[in-house]
Amino acid sequence: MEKRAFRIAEIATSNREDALDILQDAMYKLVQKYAKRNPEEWGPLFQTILQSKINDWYRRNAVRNRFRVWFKFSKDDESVDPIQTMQDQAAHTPEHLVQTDKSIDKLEKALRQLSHRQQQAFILRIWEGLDTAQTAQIMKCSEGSVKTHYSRALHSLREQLGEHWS
Amino acid sequence: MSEKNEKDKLVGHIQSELENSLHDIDAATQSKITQLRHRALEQKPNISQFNSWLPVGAVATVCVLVLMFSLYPKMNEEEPAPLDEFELISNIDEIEILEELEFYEWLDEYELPT
Repeated sequence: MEKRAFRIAEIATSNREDALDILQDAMYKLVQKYAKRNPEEWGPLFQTILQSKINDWYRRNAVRNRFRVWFKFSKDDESVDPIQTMQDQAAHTPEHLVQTDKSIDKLEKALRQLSHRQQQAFILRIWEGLDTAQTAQIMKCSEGSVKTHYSRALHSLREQLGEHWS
Repeated sequence: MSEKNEKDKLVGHIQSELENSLHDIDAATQSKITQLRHRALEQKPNISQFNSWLPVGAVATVCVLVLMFSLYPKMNEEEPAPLDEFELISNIDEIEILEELEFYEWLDEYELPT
């Protein structure tokens, strides 16, 4: 369960360390808050916590990106932009770039092209095997929204991967 | 090929790729994930330790309550003593006896012939 959760977080964040942080927070919260619950409830609860942590990550990242943009504009007159010297956390390593022909890399790239909500709906439905109602509960939206996100995600993935995978 | 079959094939392929990607997680990351799992589970005994003290606390509370209720009536029983003495003093007949104490002494010394 934790490996799959890690991969879901990694696909969402494109960053190993952030994915591990999210996984840690989710596991801690599950044990601290819901250890007494029926073991059958742990799976859906863990998914709810995990997706909530990924949402938090997106929110924090959005704020950080806004700050970066502001910082970049305000420092335009300086010769060295500190933002330019920062390490791109989403950048791939040379080994990773060598392996870009692998199917999983193509899939990950295609999944990362999706909006966060489309990615969530697709992963929960396809990989976690949840039905529309369960997915809607975890995503805190209507079943109709889940169907729309899922349908758009599938359409987008078919466009990107279809020629190789269909 | 129908659109549904095409969709099923694509979905099946994606599921299979995602599942296979679990085996491609490098050893260092797998080790880190296992450590995180163990560290998270270590939080659990703290909760059960707290819970294990609950029966002890409950028993202690019951003991204190039993002691309180068993001693309380005795404390109440001891208190009426001063009241009894006060009642003796305040009793009018007894006061009369005390006032006529000399008469009763005389009566005792010189018993009247029956």
